[in-house]
Amino acid sequence: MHLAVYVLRRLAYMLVALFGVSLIAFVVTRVLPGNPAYMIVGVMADETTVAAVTERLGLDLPIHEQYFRYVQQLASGDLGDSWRTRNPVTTDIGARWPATIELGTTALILALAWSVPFGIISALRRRSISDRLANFISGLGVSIPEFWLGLILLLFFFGAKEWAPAPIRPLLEWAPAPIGRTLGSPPAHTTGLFTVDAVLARDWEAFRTAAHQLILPAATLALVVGAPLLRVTRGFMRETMSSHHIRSARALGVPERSIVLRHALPNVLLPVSTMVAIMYGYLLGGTVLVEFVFAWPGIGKYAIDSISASDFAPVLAAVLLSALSYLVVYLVMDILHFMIDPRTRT
Amino acid sequence: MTSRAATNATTDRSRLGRVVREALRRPAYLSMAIIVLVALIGPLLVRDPLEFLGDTLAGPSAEFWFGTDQFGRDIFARVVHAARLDLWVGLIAAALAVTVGMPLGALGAYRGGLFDTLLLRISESFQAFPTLLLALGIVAALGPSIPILVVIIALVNVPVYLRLTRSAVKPLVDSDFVLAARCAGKSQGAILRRHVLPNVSEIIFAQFSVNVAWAIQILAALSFVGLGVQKPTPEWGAMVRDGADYTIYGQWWVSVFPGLAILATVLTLNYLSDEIRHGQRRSIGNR
Amino acid sequence: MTGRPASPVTESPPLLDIENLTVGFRTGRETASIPLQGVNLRVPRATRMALVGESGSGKSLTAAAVIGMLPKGAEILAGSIRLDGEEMLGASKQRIRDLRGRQIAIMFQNPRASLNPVLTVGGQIAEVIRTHSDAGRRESRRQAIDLLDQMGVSDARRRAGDYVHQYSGGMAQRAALAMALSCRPDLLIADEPTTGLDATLQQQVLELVVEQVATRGASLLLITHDIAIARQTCERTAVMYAGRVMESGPTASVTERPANPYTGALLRAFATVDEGRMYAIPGTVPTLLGPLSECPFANRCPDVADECRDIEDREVACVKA
Repeated sequence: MHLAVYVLRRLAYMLVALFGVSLIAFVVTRVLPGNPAYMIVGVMADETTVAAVTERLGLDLPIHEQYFRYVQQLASGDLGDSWRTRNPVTTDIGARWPATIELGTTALILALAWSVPFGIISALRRRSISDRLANFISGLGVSIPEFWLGLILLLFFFGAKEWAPAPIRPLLEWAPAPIGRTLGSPPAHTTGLFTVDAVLARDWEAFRTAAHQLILPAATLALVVGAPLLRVTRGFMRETMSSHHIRSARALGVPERSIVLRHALPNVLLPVSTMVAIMYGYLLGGTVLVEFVFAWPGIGKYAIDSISASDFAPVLAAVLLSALSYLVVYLVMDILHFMIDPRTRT
Repeated sequence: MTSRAATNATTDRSRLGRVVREALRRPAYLSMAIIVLVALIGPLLVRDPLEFLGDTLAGPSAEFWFGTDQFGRDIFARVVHAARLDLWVGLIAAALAVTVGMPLGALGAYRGGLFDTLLLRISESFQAFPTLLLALGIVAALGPSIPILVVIIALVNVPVYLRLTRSAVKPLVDSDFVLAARCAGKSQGAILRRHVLPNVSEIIFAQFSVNVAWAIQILAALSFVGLGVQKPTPEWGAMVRDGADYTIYGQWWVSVFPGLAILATVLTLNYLSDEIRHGQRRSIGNR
Repeated sequence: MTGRPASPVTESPPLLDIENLTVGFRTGRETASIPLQGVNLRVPRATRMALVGESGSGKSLTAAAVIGMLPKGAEILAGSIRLDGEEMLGASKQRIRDLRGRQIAIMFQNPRASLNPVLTVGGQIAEVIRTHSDAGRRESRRQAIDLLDQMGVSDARRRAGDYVHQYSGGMAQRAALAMALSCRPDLLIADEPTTGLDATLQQQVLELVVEQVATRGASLLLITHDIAIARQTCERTAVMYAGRVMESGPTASVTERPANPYTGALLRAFATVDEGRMYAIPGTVPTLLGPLSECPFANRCPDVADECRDIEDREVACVKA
């Protein structure tokens, strides 16, 4: 199949999925009881003010017309306003998404660094200690509640004032207070990713602070996201190592190093990268729980704060952004596969 | 008569022995049995989870095994009481999701056509959907009562069963025995019930265990962010949240024990699912 | 070994000499079954030898033992495998890896699965060449293209850069043959190389294998369940049943004057229609849970006699032959 045709078709699928997501989200947020107009003008406002706001927001229109208006707004890049922050939602998201991107990317890199090599090694040595350990850790990683894990890490590296025995104390020195990215002064704004900005500005003090605040939430996510990656890598590696073509290459004396690196690895990394894409899409959409625990000012935190305040425009925007980032990362990975995997070429 | 009773007793005992041996060989079953037992009869044996007992934030001791919280309530009693709630919500939500998702998925695979495509597209949209945000949004709108929580958790689990059943049923639809049943003039519902679904039930069971685990995780997460089970009802996620501020300053027991309860339950359910799958593979291998 | 029938080739040691090869499968600490019960097999130099047997007779397991790639759980209980006079059992891993491809090569059934889907066909052949010689990238690639060309792959230069999914079944088997022969092995083991190919392709591939093995002066051990294929392609034939070699010798005498009743039965089963209906050997293959003290074919043999029931310390190539 031609690449352009393939991309177009995938883009069409993506639009359909986005349409579905926006519809579900819209219905969920609009069917809700209660008039959002009161949230904006206050409960004490007189009826004419409420009516005016209701009309301005189109809340008196039938639901399908409201959705139509909403889609029209979306198409012109308007995500509405947040009454909680009194900003356009696009402004709010512009300020918060970099924090999510920074956290998600760091977490993914950390996750890849431990899970993929571990998965490969454990698959090569079946029933060894490292294999059993891999099985245990992947089981633990998919079962552990991430908010609790974050809390435990905070307990170990930040708190533990009376309980902590001596050896933990020195570690406390480099662990941050659990208050997100507000410690110290942020570096000069270029990309919005504090660590990257700090490096660009050669501001090592700011880099230290930024990395400092990033490490615990990123480590929490790295374990949660790494566990399924470990599982998948281990599974595919096992399968590949017992395949006919590996047996053939062995039977012709190809050295073990080349069997693993040249013959097996590409067969494993192709499917594993799909899983990586899913994980990255999930991370970029804002990880509600971890951002909540660490007070990380990203999209997830923004969404949950807005939900608690019944502020629905930001919630809808966060849902759409989350779905969009998932779909885009998945699409990019799919196209990369299409170009790399020889089996899709003919 | 007496001798018959005696033989019955010995076979019962040896059967019990076999069950015990089997349980030891498969720790997931044993662990699940213990958790269910705790949820069933535990609440009868422990203190009142809502009673203020005096000492606040006392560490674990012989009297209070898991310590007390900021109101001086017995954390052990609260964890045990919460087990019943969390397991119930998990079970009912997963069961609800199966009863909706499985027939829909099977029907989609069986019928094909526009109906199937539509189902597939909707469940794909759900895959891109941030599940937790969806659940949070609905709870925020409708208010966090337990029946609403169950329905919402079931709702976000439906697409999982739908896709799973659909992919398991699809290859069966074209199989010869279904064709034969069709030729025999059986109705669509009868074919699905008698010929198709029994063949996929084991996959569904393995998935069910995972989904109970997932439902408990979602419930705990919702409660943790304050939109799930409300105070003062004991629930693991809510308890982790209540203790969070104390935990990071050193009163670790307030959050650690309820979190461990979530971890142990979810881990057990996940391993149980692996066991069901492996057992199934074993029995197919022996066939 | 005493009681071993004199081999017709006695001057130089045979290329492959398998003696009393006994392989068991273990589950836990116990040996659960003994699928190879003292296999004796000699493949002389520059000879094509067929190893014929029903499925489960142990022919593929014998091949796996020769290349040192027994499946998990299998272990060698007794016997020896000598390649060109050198004992293979107990040789170092390094030595065995060194011999694989260079002295013995194997091609498996299902050629598409035995080539790596994400590496080019030419690249895989070139890698085997580089492994066993000091040829560089460019040189090994040139040789790989040459080999594909010799195997009758048209437009070999272009096809070398293709992936296995772009090859047809017959072409993939040619590529697998090129890879197996790339380092001029003395012995090529072909394990059911034509199953899954249609009849005309089967013929072509067999002819190609015979021709290529002959021009290289190598020996062929062809594993097949089809005695007709053995008759067509090989000078010598060994018949396996229930983990033993029942009979071996020049193909013509084995197939025309079978000395072993089992061979006779097998031939009858293959002679398509006999008096209007198929001939089936009565009874079933014994399950080899332990060493047998009687002839494995005793329960199905049309000529069974009392002495067939006690063959301990005997070579089993039928007491009556």
